[in-house]
Formats: sequence, C-alpha cells, structure tokens
Amino acid sequence: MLNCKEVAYLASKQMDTKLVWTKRLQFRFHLWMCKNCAQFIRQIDFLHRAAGEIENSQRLDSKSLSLSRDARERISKRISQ
Amino acid sequence: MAKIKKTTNPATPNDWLEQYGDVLFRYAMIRIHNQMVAEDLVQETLLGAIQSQDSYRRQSSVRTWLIGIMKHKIIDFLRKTSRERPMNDVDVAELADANFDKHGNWQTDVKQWSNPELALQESQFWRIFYQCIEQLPPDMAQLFMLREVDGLAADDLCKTLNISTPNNVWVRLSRIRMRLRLCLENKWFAQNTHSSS
Repeated sequence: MLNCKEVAYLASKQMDTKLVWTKRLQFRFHLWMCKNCAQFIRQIDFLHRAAGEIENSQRLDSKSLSLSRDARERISKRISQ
Repeated sequence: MAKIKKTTNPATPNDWLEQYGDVLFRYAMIRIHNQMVAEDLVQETLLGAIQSQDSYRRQSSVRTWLIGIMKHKIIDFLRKTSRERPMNDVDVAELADANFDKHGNWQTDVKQWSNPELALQESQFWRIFYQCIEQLPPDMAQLFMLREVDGLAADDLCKTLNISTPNNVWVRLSRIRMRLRLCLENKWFAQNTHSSS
C-alpha cells in the first residue's frame, strides 16, 4: 500500500511523465479512498494552470515596471543597425 | 498614414520596441529577476524577431509572437549560464516533507481551495504567487517555470539546468509543487476562506 507522501510524489510525477501501469493502479486505488490526496491533485493542477496564465497576467501591463530611457535608447540603436 | 499604422501590425522593429518593449521587459523580469539581463533579453528578442519575421503568423498577436521568441531566448540564456553545481535542494526537501508526518500521512487535511479561478483575476493573488516562486532557491524556480510555462520535457530540463537524470527532475518538481501549494495555502487560500460562499 502506498502512503500519502508516496502518492503525492506520483501525483506530481504523472504530470511530467507516464507512470508504469502497476504504479498507476496503486495510485488510483489510493485516490479512490483518500480525499486529501485527491484534493492535492486539484491544487497542483491549479499551479499548472496559474503558471500558464503568466503571460496574460496583469503584471505584464502594470505601469510600475518599465524599461529605462537609457535601455530603450540603447536597444533602439542596436535594432536599427 | 497614421491611421494605417494603427490598424495594421507594426512593421518596424522600433515600433515593436515602442509598443511591446515594456511588456517584454516585465516578462523577462518575472522569469529572470535581473534588470540588466532582462534588458539584454528584450534586445535579443527584437533582433530575433527581425530575423524571423517570416515566422509571424497572423493568427497570433504580435505580443504573443514576441513573447514566444523571448521564451526561447530565456531557455538559451539559462542553458549558457547553468553550470555544474550542486543543487541546494535540502531546504526544499524539508519544506516539502513538512506536509507529512513520519508515517507519510498528511499532517493536516488538505482543504478545498475556494474559487481558485477567481484568484487568477486578482492582482493581489499574483503578487503572492510570484512571492512564493521567488522564495524557492533560484534553480528550483527556473525548473518550475521551464516545466509549467514552457512545457519542457525531462530530457530538455536536464540539459538546460544541468541536472543529471530525469528522475532528479521529477523528484525536484514534486518537492517544488508541494512547497508552492503550501505557500499558496498559507498566504492566500487560508486567508480568503471568508470572502467566498
């Protein structure tokens, strides 16, 4: 029987690679009974979704951080060559 | 003339710089956290864009196209700067282990997060999200982003960050995710349980 710590590791691993079928079976069996681990999977899925939203996040449009005038001029010169 | 310029995609590199320079700079800062490197990445991205103008597809916005080029530049940069070094994952191991007791059971019940979709719309949430990522050891933060943002597979992650085996990649990613989930739980979701029904 897998414990929750092992299942949490497999939950993460299966986002990155395919599990061998014996592990997959043990993993599913544990999830069937364990609310905590099922919840954990939802949460790391959410991490994945949030990371995918970075390029749409408001931070890219917030005026609080901008290229300095110097950098802008330097880059402009370089790309005009 | 001015009208045409506004309705068509900007054609000259300086137009790109004008319109998207800041967006690219902010994206580079989110990924690399170093002003000088971020500025260089903006420049390299625009130079890359000039060379691959043909690759631009009208289906995507210029902004998406440029960010796509920048992502490749970021991977190149990381590959060049990552050298053989012992990765410090002791801290991360400890913090991930903090999730479990000595029998490998969850220390506390994993509670359902309320309205995670709404969180994505809130700037305060993003502040905390980046804070949690920045608290990771730098190599770990890069590993997470390369996997979750760029979708690199284990082999490429090994090459880019000089990690010896795919297995090490998976172990590290699992620790990172456990730590990030705990961080978001403590700093955001546990604080915001009352605001939703």
